[in-house]
Amino acid sequence: MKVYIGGANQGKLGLACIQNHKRVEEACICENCGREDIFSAKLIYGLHHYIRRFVFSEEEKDILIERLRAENTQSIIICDEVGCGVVPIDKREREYRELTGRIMTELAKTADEVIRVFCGIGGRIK
Amino acid sequence: MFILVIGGSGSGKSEYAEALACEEKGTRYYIATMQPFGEETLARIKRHRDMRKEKGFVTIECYRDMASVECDYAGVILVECMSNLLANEMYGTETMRSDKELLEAVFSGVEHIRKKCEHCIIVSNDIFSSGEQYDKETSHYQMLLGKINQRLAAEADHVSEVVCGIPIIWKDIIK
Repeated sequence: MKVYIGGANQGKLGLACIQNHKRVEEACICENCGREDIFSAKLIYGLHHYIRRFVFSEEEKDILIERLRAENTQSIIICDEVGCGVVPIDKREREYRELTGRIMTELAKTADEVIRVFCGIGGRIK
Repeated sequence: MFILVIGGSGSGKSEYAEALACEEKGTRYYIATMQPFGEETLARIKRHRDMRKEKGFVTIECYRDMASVECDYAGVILVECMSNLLANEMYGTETMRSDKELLEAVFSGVEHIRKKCEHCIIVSNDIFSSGEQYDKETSHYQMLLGKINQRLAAEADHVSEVVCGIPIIWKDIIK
């Protein structure tokens, strides 16, 4: 598994495509994908959107991590860094950011590579 | 040499960029893009003016259309900062322009400035990791600044991210 993390609008998808010889059209777009799609897709774009749409509890978080690790070992996962703002007032917003951070931390632990993207430049942090 | 310095608010990016500028010989121009509106921006402008008081910069105020800046050939030009410039280009005039026109205005300005100096330093803002789902207008601005930062980084010889006043070097081409 390979993880791309970085702020919004940093060119993560473009860089991941170049580095892994993929086309943008191949990406599973988490803004509107089906619930099961990410467990077979090779290029997963915007995991934070998937988390916003489908992950609401600790239990769901653990299942997501476990299933990705077990069923999609060769995946390339792209996710926005969402944790660097002021803690939101809305409870679900708080949970969403926390869950996203925790999920990415866990996936990064077992990933073969983690690349942080800044202004279109990739820095290999693992 | 073309240098891009990016950081969050209060990260120390200006101070770092100014220190870089002060290493260079020749005339030092400072292109200030913040338009003074009300007390808060005036205080902010004053803080920045005081900070660079002794550093020998000639300040040029330019809120938009950097391509029209007139100055002598300089040792270094420091542009502070791109996020204000873009906001002024987008919202500072009555005319609505397409993304293409906005980017064209910004980049023709950058190109013009780069021709006017030995070393060009541009400061920009990191506004991309808050995780907030902004309204349409704000996310549009965020998207454009992201594009601009990426293109500046691609063209730059040196790209630094400043965190707590410490530069993290993302790109460094020695010339």
